[in-house]
Amino acid sequence: MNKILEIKNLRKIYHTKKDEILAVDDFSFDLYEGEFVSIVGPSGCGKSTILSILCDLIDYSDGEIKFNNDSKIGYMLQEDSLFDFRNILNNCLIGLEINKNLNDETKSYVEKLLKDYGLYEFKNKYPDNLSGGMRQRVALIRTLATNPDILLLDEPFSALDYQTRLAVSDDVYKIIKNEKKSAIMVTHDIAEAVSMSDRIIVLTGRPSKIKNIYEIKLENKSTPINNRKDSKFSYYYDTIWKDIDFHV
Amino acid sequence: MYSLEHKLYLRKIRKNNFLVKFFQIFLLIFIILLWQFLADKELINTFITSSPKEIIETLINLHKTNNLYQHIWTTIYETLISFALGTLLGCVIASILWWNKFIAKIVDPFLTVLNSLPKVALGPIIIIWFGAGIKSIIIMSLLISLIITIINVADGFNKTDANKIKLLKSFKATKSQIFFKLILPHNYKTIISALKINISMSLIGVIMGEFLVSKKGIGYLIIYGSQVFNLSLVMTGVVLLAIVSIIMYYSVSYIEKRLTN
Repeated sequence: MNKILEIKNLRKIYHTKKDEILAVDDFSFDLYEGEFVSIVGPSGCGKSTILSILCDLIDYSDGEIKFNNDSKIGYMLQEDSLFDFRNILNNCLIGLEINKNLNDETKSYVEKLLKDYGLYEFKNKYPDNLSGGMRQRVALIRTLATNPDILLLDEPFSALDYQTRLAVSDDVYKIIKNEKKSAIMVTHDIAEAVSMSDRIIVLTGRPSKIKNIYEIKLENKSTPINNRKDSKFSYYYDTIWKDIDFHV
Repeated sequence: MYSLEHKLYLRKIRKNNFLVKFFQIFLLIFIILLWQFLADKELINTFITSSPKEIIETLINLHKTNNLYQHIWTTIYETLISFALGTLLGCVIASILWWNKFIAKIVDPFLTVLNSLPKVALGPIIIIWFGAGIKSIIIMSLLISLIITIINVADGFNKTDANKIKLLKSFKATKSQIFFKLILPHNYKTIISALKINISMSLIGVIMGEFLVSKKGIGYLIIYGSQVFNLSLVMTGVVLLAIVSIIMYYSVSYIEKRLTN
């Protein structure tokens, strides 16, 4: 398989008036095409920082990031951040508008995505009319609209209630696999990570360093909801749980 | 069809609304009649309090000499100019402050001081700088409406959801794209509600300006009336002002409703 992203010795220091804080240190890993990787770790350890750096929203202090084959990035945030003054279709087109890439072809691609994932009949509705789960799926389609190669998911389901969360993570997983995207997901939910990922990176508390990387090899790998019933699911869950020092 | 209970519920609401309206009008008429009654019985000194009849007479006189509409129109005209200028300049300046946080930090204390300073204190300076004319009146009114517009609109701009900005940045949006695709449409309602505050502020400013310097306008009628101790003229001015301000306020409210639906 091809490496589409290489990160070497990434390091990020935050500066405040009083202090400087080492948030991420010596973070190295490679992402392969079509792979789903999760990053888990104690809260506030700088998981989201890594995604923000990859998305070029913030600068990094040291290290090297290399995208192969001009891979494009798509970022999905915890909150759907849909614009309430735009209808669903126009919300999905915002990225294309910004990249000045909106034409009949890209628009019909977005309409196809909406059709494929059961949102087409809502395309003229406004976000207020949609449930939290549907809004999050719209947010994913907005991210997919610019046809990125790598999706960065920043705790994408944590604003949803438990039932919706399971259903939407199943949907999102299927969509990502169908569209043959690679993905890096940040989450604090170990079960979610085990059920969705090919690999899981466990980070230490601040400064974030890689503690362990697990290759998730379930007996019968299928959809996230089914994966939760897999015989090896709890093995990975327990191992990773022990890895993260939770201080309550 | 609704159930009987629901019909009774609706009837109760209608009845209640009707009673509120009824007593509002009743109270107004009662005050006017009481005022006239006390004046007729010479229980109050009409030289100081005037009376409804005298106000109507004054209105008829003003109407006959053709000055009435000129005074009203002058005030409306000045208010509309400073309203338009205040809204436009306010939004433009607020945009600049959003755009450039460095400038915003620099001017912040100046805005705070200007906002809390009673603008009427600047009246004499304005007259000396801009002359005794309409220019001074509009500047006076602008000072009052502009600062509050800037503060309100800039505050709305700055409170725009940071996650939405982050989202646009993840698409590599430029600053002007963020402004026109998010900040401006997102703050549509903030700007519309600024209009409503602005129309009242502009009218206050214009009347204050007319008090200081003018030869026509409703503010002029009031201040002139008080100088010659013609309380009927003063009261007439106040009544006219009440009517003008209600009409302007409801016009803007109506526009607001049309624009937000």
